[in-house]
Order: sequence, then C-alpha cells, then structure tokens
Amino acid sequence: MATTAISDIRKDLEDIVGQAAISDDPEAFGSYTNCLGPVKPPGPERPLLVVRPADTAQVQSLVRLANELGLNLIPASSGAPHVHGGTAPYAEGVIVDLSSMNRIVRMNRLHKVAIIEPGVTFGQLKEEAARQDLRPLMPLLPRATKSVLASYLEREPITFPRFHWDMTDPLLCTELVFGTGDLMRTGSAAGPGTLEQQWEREIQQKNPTGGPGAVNFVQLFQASQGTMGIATWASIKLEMLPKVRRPRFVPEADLDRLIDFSYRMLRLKLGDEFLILNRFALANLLAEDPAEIKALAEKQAPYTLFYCVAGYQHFPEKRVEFQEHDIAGVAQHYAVLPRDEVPGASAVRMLEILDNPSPEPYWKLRFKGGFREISFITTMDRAPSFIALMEETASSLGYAADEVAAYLQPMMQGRNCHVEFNLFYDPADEGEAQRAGKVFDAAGVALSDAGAFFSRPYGPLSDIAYAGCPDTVATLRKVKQLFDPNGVMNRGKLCFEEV
Amino acid sequence: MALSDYARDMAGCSRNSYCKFVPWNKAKSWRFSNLCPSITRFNFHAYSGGGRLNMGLSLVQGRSELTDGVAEIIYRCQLCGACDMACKVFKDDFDITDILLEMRTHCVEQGQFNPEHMFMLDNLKKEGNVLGEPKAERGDWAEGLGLKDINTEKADVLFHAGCRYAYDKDLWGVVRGAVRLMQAAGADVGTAGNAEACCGGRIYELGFRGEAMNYADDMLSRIDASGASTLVTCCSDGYAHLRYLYPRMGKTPPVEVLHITEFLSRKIAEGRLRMRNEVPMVVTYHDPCHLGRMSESYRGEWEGDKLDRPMAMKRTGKQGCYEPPREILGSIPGLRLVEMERIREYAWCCGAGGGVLEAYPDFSSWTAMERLEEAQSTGAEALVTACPWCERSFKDALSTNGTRLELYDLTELVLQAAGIQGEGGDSDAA
Amino acid sequence: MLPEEAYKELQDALGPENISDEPALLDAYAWQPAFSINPDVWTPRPIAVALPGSTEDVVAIVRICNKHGLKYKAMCLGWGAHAAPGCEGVVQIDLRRMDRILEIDEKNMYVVVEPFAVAGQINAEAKKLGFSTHMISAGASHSPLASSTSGWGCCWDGVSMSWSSRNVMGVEWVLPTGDVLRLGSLDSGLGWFSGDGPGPSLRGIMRGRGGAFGGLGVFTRCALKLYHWPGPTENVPDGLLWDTHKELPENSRAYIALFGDERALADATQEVANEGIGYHSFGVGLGNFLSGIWPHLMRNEAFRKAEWLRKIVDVMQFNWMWLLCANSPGELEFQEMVIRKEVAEHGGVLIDMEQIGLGQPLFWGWVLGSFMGVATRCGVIGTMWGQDEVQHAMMEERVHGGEPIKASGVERGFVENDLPGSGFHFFLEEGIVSHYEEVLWYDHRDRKATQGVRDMVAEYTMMNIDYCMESGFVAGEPELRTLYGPMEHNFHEWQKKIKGVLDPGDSSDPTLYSTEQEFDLSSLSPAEQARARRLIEEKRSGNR
Repeated sequence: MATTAISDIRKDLEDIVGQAAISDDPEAFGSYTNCLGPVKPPGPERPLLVVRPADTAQVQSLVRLANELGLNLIPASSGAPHVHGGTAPYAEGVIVDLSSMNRIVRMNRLHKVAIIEPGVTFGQLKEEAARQDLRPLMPLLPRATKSVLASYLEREPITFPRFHWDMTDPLLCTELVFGTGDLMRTGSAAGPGTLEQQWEREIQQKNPTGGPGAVNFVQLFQASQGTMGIATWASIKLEMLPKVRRPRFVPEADLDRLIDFSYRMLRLKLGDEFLILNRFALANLLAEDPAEIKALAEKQAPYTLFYCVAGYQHFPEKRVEFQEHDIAGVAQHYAVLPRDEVPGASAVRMLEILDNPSPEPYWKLRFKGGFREISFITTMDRAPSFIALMEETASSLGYAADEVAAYLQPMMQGRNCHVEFNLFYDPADEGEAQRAGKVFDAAGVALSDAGAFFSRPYGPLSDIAYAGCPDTVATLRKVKQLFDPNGVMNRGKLCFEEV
Repeated sequence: MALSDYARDMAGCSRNSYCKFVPWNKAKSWRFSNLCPSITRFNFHAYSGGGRLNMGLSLVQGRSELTDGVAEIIYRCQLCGACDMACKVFKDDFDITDILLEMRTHCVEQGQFNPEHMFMLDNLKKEGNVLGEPKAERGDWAEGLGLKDINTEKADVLFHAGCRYAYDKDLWGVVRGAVRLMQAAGADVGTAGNAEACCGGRIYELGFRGEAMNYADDMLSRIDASGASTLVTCCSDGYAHLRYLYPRMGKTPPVEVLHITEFLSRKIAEGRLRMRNEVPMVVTYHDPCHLGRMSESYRGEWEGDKLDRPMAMKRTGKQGCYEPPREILGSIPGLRLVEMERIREYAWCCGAGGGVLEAYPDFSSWTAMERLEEAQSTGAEALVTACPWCERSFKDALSTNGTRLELYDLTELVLQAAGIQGEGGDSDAA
Repeated sequence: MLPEEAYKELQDALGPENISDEPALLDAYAWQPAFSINPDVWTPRPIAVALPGSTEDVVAIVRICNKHGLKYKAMCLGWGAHAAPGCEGVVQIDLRRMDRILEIDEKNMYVVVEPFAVAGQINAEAKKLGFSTHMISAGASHSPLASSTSGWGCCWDGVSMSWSSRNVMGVEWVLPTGDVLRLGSLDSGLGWFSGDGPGPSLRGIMRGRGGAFGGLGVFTRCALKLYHWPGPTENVPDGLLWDTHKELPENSRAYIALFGDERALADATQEVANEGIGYHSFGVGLGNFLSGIWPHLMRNEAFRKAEWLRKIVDVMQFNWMWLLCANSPGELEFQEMVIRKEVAEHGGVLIDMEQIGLGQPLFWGWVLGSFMGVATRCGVIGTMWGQDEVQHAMMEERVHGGEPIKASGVERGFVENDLPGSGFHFFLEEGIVSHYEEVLWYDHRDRKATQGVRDMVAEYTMMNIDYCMESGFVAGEPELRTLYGPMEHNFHEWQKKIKGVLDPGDSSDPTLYSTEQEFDLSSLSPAEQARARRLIEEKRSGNR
C-alpha cells in the first residue's frame, strides 16, 4: 500500500479531478461501504477518499497515478444503496465514483443504439430513449440509482430473453481504461478513426463481437467487479418502443409444466418480457403496501410466468395477433392458461412495474428493510430442484420457506437461466438478520454442491465459486497480471486476493 | 498424357473438402455422410481426392518424390469416383478420376509397382484374367446353357461374363441365371467361352495402360467376330470400362453396350419378361460405383480452359445406370425397396475396386463393412447389388462378422419373380 | 525436419498410423489457394502431420512439441491458408479423427461437438430434432467448433442464428502449454450451458471479433447454440445444386427485392430486420450469382462489350433476399406484410423466387449449406474486405469505396469481370449489424491474378482505414495487424502479452496472432503511397 501521506495523495488527485470532485466525508463513504450484500470477512475497509472524475482522460490519469503510488481504486457507477459489495473496499483505497459521467452521448432510432457514460441510470435512459420510440433492455426493477453500464458490465440478466443472444448483451462496444492506465476502445468503436470520424461514415459502434483483433476485451471486463479497469462509456443495444402490448400471466402450480411451456415459447421467440416468479417474489413486486405482501402471496399460484407480446413500428396489431394465436396453441399443448390478471394485479399493471426502475425504497427492501440475494446460473429444467433445495435449506435453519422469493430469468434465448433467491429480513432484528445470513451461507454451499454455477460471484460466494475451478483461477490470475500488474484495481475481489 | 500434363488441373483444387462428403443436400446423418472410403479410413488429407491432387502437383513440380509411401497412398484408393462427383457439384473444370488414373500410370512409369498388382498383371498375361485362374476353364460357367459360341457362329447379343463371374463359382448362379433370363426374354445370345478374356479395365486402373490397350483390342476383335449388335454384361466393371475407358483409348465398341440390369428392365417394360411371383422381402440396393457414376460414357477431350466445357462434355456421375435396377425392383411383386442414405451418384463404395481388394484386403473389408452397416440401418432384410466385385466384397465381409443380412444379386431376385427356378428349369417368363 | 526423437514420441503417443513426415503427404497440407494474401499458393510445408483421436492425444502432441521446441498448428476442414502453418518448422495437427457429435440437448438448445464434426453433419442431425445450426459462408463443409473458437464466423443465416463467436457456450481448450482449460460452467463440472465466468469471461481471451487462428493452443470440444427449425425433419431434396427440387416448408417463402440505390436498400432492409424478420436475410450481387452459375458468360467477350446488358445486370446489384421460415401462417403473413410495405415504400420490386424457378434451389441450398461451394467455381474466391457494422455504413463503403477498386482490378485483368459491388451482405441478430464482403473471383493458378489481388489488398486496406473500418481479414495477417494495431489502441501488443503468458514457449503457431511484419505499400503508386502514409498517420495520431 501507499506509503505516501493522504494529504499528498489528495493533492495529486486534486490535480487530476479538481478540488470539488474529491470527498473525504465519512457519510459519503458509507454509501459505498455499507452495502446490503455480504462482504468477505473481516468486512470492508474504510475508503481513503472518493473522487469523481469527469471524463476518460481524468480516469486514465487516476489509474496511472494509482500505479505510481500503489493506490487501490474501487470503481463505482451506481448510486446508493449498493447491494452486491462491489464498491466495498477489501483493501484501503480510493473510490472512483463515475456517477458524474452521466451523458447519453448519442442515440439512433433506426439502428437502435445509444452510447452512454457510466453514470447514466435506467430511468434517465428510458426517458431519453422514449423520445426516439426506443426503450432500454432492463433487468428486473433496477434501483433508481442503478448505472446502466454497471448493470450490463455485471452481466445482470435482462427481462427480455428474446433479445439476449449472448452473455454480453445488451452491451456492444466500450471504452475501457485498463489497470495499466492504457486505453482501449472495443468492437467497431476501436477504429480506425475517432468516434466523430466514424459517425461521419455512418458507423454506429454496434458490433458486439469484441475486438479489436482476436481479444474480446468486453468479456474480460464483464463481471470483473472493477478488477481489470474502468469502463468510461459503452454503446448499448436498445429496442423499439412497442405500439401495442399484450401482457399475460400464466399462474401454475406445476413448475415443471411451466418450464416446459417456457422452453417452447422461447424456442419460438414468443414473448418479449419473459420471467417466472414464485408467489412470494411476485407479491413483493405487486404489493403497494409491504403489509399486504404475505397475504397477497398466499393468493397467488405457487409460480407465475409473466410474458408480454408486442407490436412495433409495422402492423403492430397484426404482430400481436399472430403471437397471441400462436401462444394459444402452445399453451393448449402444455395445458397452461394465460390470464390477464392474478390476484391483486392486472398484467397491464405488472407491465407498468417492469417498465420502470424500482420505486423507492428498492423493491427488495420493502418487505423488511433488508435482504440477502443469492443468484446463479443453471438450465431451466434444473431450476425446480434448486428451488426445493433452497426452501429446504431455509426451512432447516428456521427461515420460513414460503418467504423465500424465487425469480427465474431465462437467458440466452432460453439456453440457460438465472436463478435468484432473496431472503428478506429486518436489519433491526439481529436474530432475523443472523438467520438470513446463516441461510445465505448454508445455501451457498448447498446450491454449489448441487450444481449451481455462481457465474458472477459476490462476496463469500466467490470463494465457493472459484474453489471448483482451479484451472480457470490460474488463467484468470495470469490475465489479471497483464491488465493490472500492480494490483491497483479493486484489490482482493473475486479470485485476485494474492494478485 | 503424362501426369505433368495435368499440372494445371491439379492446381485447380481449391482445397474445400467437398470431395470428402456426400453433397450436402443429401446429408441425412452424421454417421453416413462421409463419401470417400480412403480419407475416411486413413484420415490424412493426402488420402482424399483433393489431397491426391495436391500431392500429385507436388510431385510434378519436383517439390517431393514418389516414394514407396506415396505410392501406397496412391494405391489405397478404390477409384470409386465419389470424390470426382462431389467436387463436380461445384467445380467442373477438372476430372479427379482421370488424374487419379494418371497418377497410377505415373507410378508404373516410375517403377513404383505394387506387388499384388504385379501379380494380377502376371495372371492376366498368363491366363487372360486377373485372378490367375486357368484360361482353359474360362467358359465352364456356361456349360449346359445352350449359348452360341461366337467363335464359330453369329449372335444378336454378345454376352461378356467378365473375370469374376467366369471363375467365382459362388457367383455362377448369377451369371447363369442372367443368361437364362435373357434367353427367356427371347434374346439370341452368344459368348466367347474360353476365348473370352479380361476387358483390361482393371489393369488400366492399376496403371498398366499399355496392357489394357491390348485387351481392348482383343475385346473389339471378339465383338467384331460375333456379329452382335449388342453387348450385354453382368460385370459392372466391364460395363464402365467399355463405356468410358475404351472410347478414351480410341477403342469405341461398335455395338450397344448394356448392363444386364438395363437389358432386363427393358424386357420387363416390353412385357417380354414377366414378374409373376411375389418376392415378399424388404431390400435395400447398393449402387455399384462402376454401374453408377463411373459408367458414364466418354464425352471427348476438351481443348483449352475446362471451365468453358459445355455440359454435354462433362461427366458428373448423374448419368450412371441408376434407374434400371430400381425399375426392376419396383416391378417385383411383394418386394419393397428401402433406400440407404448414400445412393446413386453419391453411393458409398463396396471396397473392392481399384486393386484394393487384392492389395489391401483389410481396407477393402472395412469399406464393405461400412456399407453393410448402412444397409442394416435401413431395416432391410437383404442387400441387393448388381456387380460381382461388390458381391464378392460383401460376401467376404459378411463371413468375417456376424452381420445378419441376406445378400442377393438383382438377377437372383428376377429369377425368383419370373419363376425361373434353378438350373435348367423351364421358363414361364415370356 | 522433425527430430527423430520427437517423431518417435509422437508415434508412441498416437500410433504409427497417425503420424507422418512423408514430404508429398505434407505438401497436401501446404496447398492453400484460398484466404491468403500471399501470391504464392504453397504455404510453408509442415514438418509432420499428427492425427490425434482425443483430447489426451492433443495434450500429448502439444507437450511433445513444447519439449522439443517445435511449433504446432491445429486445423479442422482446412479450407484456407489460415488453417495451415504460417511459418517453417510446424507440426500440423489435423483434428480429423475427432469428429463426433457428443450430445444434443434439445431442451436447452445446444449441441456439443468435437472439432471435426462438420456443419453439414451437425445440421443433418439437428434438423431431425427441429433445429438448425449456424453455418458460415464456407457452407456445410466447415467446422463450427473452429469457426466459433478460432476465427470469423458469420453468414446469411446470421439474422436468425447469430455469429459463431456468439454461439459458443462451454469450451474445452488445450492451452499452448498442454494444460487443459475448460471455460465457464464446464470447468466447475456443471455442464456446457455457460462459457463465461465465474467472474471475467475467458472467452474474451479465446477470441474476439477475429480469432487466434491456432495461435493459442487447440480447442477440442465445445457447446454451440442450436436454433429452431420450423420445417420438416426429413430434409433431403432431389438434386444437388441448381437442379434441387423440394417444396418449401409450410409457412416458408423465398423473396428477392430489387432496389434503385443503396440508400433505399439500406433503409428498407433495416426496417424489416428491426422487426426480427428473416430466417436468412442477405443480398448477393447478381454478377456474383452469375459467376457461380455461368462463369463463361461473365468471361464472354460479347457480354463484356454489351454495355446495355451489363447496365441491366448492374441495376440488379442492389438486391436483397429473405428466406422466411415462419412458425405459423399468421407469422408468415405478418412478415410478408412488412416486407411488401417496406419494399414498396422504398421504390423496390419484390419477386417471389419460386415464381421464377429459383426458390427451391436457393432455399434448400442456403438452408442446408450446400450452395456455398459455388464460390470455388472459377478458381478461388477472395473476400477482400468484410466488416460488421450497420447496414448504412456497409453500403456506403461498398458503393463509394469498394466498387471503384473492384472496377480497377477488373480493368487491370486481375479478377473476373463480375461487376463491381458483387459481394454479399447479410444481417446479424435481427439487424443489429450488417456484414459485407466484396468478392473477387480469380484463378489462383494465374500469377498475375494472385499478385494483382495482393496489390488490391493494399488498396482495399487503405479504403478500410479511410472508412474507419477494421481490416477485412480481421487483422489476423501479421502485416495487417502490424498496420492496424497502432490505429486501434495497440491491440496487437495486448495479443503479444497474452501470448506471452499463455504460451511462454511460443509453440502454438504465432503467425496469425502475434507475429509482426511491416505492411508493404510498394504496389501503390508514389502518390497513393504518400496519401496512404498520411492516412495511416492521421488515424494513428487520432488514436493516441
């Protein structure tokens, strides 16, 4: 760690970002360190400072300075509350808060693309996109302060499996500052030429296949929790704003049946929004009053699929009509019944909820004020066994199984599936908090043993995830050594404790 | 021609591997989508049609030498013509089969002889057949059939038995049955008896082109002596050679050349041969290479860029004898044909051709077994073919493992359906 | 020469029948007329060819090569110089014996394959279950594993079936040192369903837009996405190519639209793609088409002189084709409505290809991947530049940048006269971007042609730089990579670094990954060279 005095560091940082963009306010620190997710023991370090760079050049200078001084930089783009522990320093360091870089640099309707900086939130993007008859591809009720770029960089699943071709989606091209301080623009944004020169040639920075050359730098950056460097902008895929939409619920007691129906729907690319929730997760989304959640959950079918078909610019009614007709046939085959409403909400209401970032407080906080999230990837057909295991684990530790919120999000057009469990607790109730923590710890091990793949592991889950893949760890460490040889980027995260 | 004359053609290979697989329109499965036995068995690219051209070019450009190893690669090939056909789906400005034949001649010219092939040649020189059987016994198969002897009398139809049928007693029933069917259909048939000799095609394929010329001359003189207007043979090899190699050597037969399946299908269509009896059986049919794609007639030589050759001068394999055998099978009451995946011009070889049966029996047997597996996969009870070399190859392969599959020559099924039972039975066919 | 000891070790590992150093046999691996910017058709002859039958065999070969300081290069189908050794002293690993389809997961829509499972074979098996596999423009005779892990990988079906690089899930990878790395969920023993993570995805090292082309070890198995096929499970038409006859499946159509100019084409087709329409969605220059069907016409002197006729053909260069395979009559009706509307609004003419007799051969030719061999009809096909960006950018470059160069190449007698702008376009992932490749037909036996095409590479490269596009060869060629690297954030230096840590012995043929070589501008005129240098400097300085 730096032996330089903090005051000297501060001065160097001021030279880069200016005095006003630096903070040592402990209250500000709290928003990064007091994250809602679990962090590895012994818990987060207190940041030295928070800096708010205004542009790529400043970011680059910060990283170079960090290399000179041996500083640890912890990138953050979203506003509080932070939920996964990515911004909680595992070693003393400087928070690089990118939320001031919040421009939507460019948007194009015909080519359905935007270039955004890291501070752009989903709410901001949605509003701007709508002006051009476009919409962002959102994850499930992101926090109002959630950075779009951070979400996509973290491979958070979007609720639109049809538009999720590969795990980088909806991220396209990026500008990256490596841990060495070197700059890289990826995909067709790489050049030759500046962005402005490319725009003159009608290039829209849309190629999602990585590069330049034979490396997909975006894939290396994704789910790296800021350990490889800092992304300073990205082009992202948008979709057409529908002119007509027809949302439906499919409540069902038999999850296997619902999953078989889902496989067929996704194979036929039917449905834009498409997700499955258990009754408790659904109630948490729908209930307007937290006190109603439990009662509302009891009224629901054990599982509910929600999907929405849409028509866009051309013959929207016709498009919706044929999809509904086709879905009716599939539903009949699998003996499920799409409906316009479930107890407590219409499908239209559900769509309104999904269309927006989470209202305050964040939806996972509404029931009790605290939550533990455990999420992983598997295939849809295996999801029921994981749900059973999670409920069993919760129950065995005194956590009510019917208060485990389960969310299944098919990805890659149905080829794999994000499974997410949320355990709610009252942070003021130490017993509850401890119980949720115990369930989280036990479930992490049990689910991993049963084949859950923690593809973007946070906090203690990273140890579990990496224990099973030593060859991956060995290679990742070699790669990290290239892009961050001095270990200045978010030290201690993932499998990079010793790097 | 010398191999160096084909340098430009060999250099035409675009290295796209289409020569290794069935034309992709026809691929039905992973298991049976390979086409070339040689590359499928030996795997190095040099064993494919394209790889052989690349290797040949290397030789003529002096980049490498013709070693024993190279000669072995050249001879480990049935010359089945599949690569040529598959390549020509797209690329028709060279003829792989001609080049492969030339490579063998090149081997012979360079003194790279295969010992087994030399043995075949010696046999031929001594006894007039590649099997080494006594010349004096060549006509024994026809005993008692009442065939005209074309050495002494004229006949409308000259029947050429071919080496394998003449000497392989296991197959005599086929060749004798064929004659009976022809007679039953009213044909005036003659044969050369012990004076018949090999057509020479096989040794042409082995690279002994000069010897092959002699046997072609011999054949033409017999045709001339017979006064026949039609030559019929059960031997697919002979059939292909008469239709392609002979004209290519400038020895075009002055008669119509028919394979027995063509002759019989005509007679059935004309009503001269009636399929009266049910043959309740599910069969699959193996297209012999030399009856199929290799039997396309000679189209002449094209001077200049072969890309500009008119279609009429290109051999694509499509004009082989595919329909007559199927028409015959279709005319047999009670019989049902189920096709294999690789049929007609993209059929898999039986393994016997090109001197492989004699020089590399294991490879030949492996190739045959591949085909038998494919035949079995159709669910058929029996495999039907129309070539003595194929039949021999399949018989041998069947005898070495427990595959339960009946094997028939097409003629045998026609005999059953026509009600011509066994040797000397009365015909009720006409 | 392969050291005797190494030969013996390889022989012991693989069996004597699976290793050879016979010079003529090796030369069969050195004949590579396609996808090369080298005017010489022979590539460096490997010092041996090894035929592994398993991952363990590959590991053994790689370790033996490392032990003896030898280089190696893996190949599958081997169409193109990128498959062959790029330098002397390389053991060619021919993966032909590793040809199995290991698993088709119907529910989760992927197939697990070995390197030599050929696209046509996979497609045949997939179709039986109602799936298609993505096929690159090489057609059915390609290795989807190679395309997915090692380089390139897009084609006409991209609108519905994405790119090879984005279709790959779990991967088994023999690293250059001989260690085996499994990507994603596979390394945790959980199956093939994800190739990413935990954490950063090492797929990013495996390949980017381009690939390492054998420079980073050997890929031995991978899972690939399958896509729904709504047609029949029995897919064998009569005929082999143009003679193909088989009814189109229910709810399927084959349309071609002709537009007046590139802007109309780009606008209309992008709108259609944005609605997610097309099983295949692509354009092929008519001249290109005719060269495949009727090469002697294109060479015919009378045709060359018939300006009026050539103008008619030229007008038809702005065409677009849609092969529709809808899941229902309603979906088909919707798709047709959109296409008709957009074509009409942009002044185009829409033709049902079945009504002009081309529907069936083209539909099945493309769907089964059997059609692409026409590319070899005149010798070899050269695709001199190919990028992936939005349709409008590609059209702009094609018309204003590429066509004059092509016309000049024709004029100089380097390439067949199949009209400028005769390349092919297609969409990817419901129109996210478009891909264009300019096609040059030439006879690789003609030194003037191969040298001329090499000269045209320099011209096209300068055009690409001017149009802010990456190299047509995705910067794999050493001289292109060396040229482009400084214009694109020195990606070539990063590749060298990656190579350094994963392949400390530099054993995996580095030619197309990390070898550097100066770009030769000497074929350009002095004035063009001066302009090229200015352009290069401008783009490099803009990148600092």
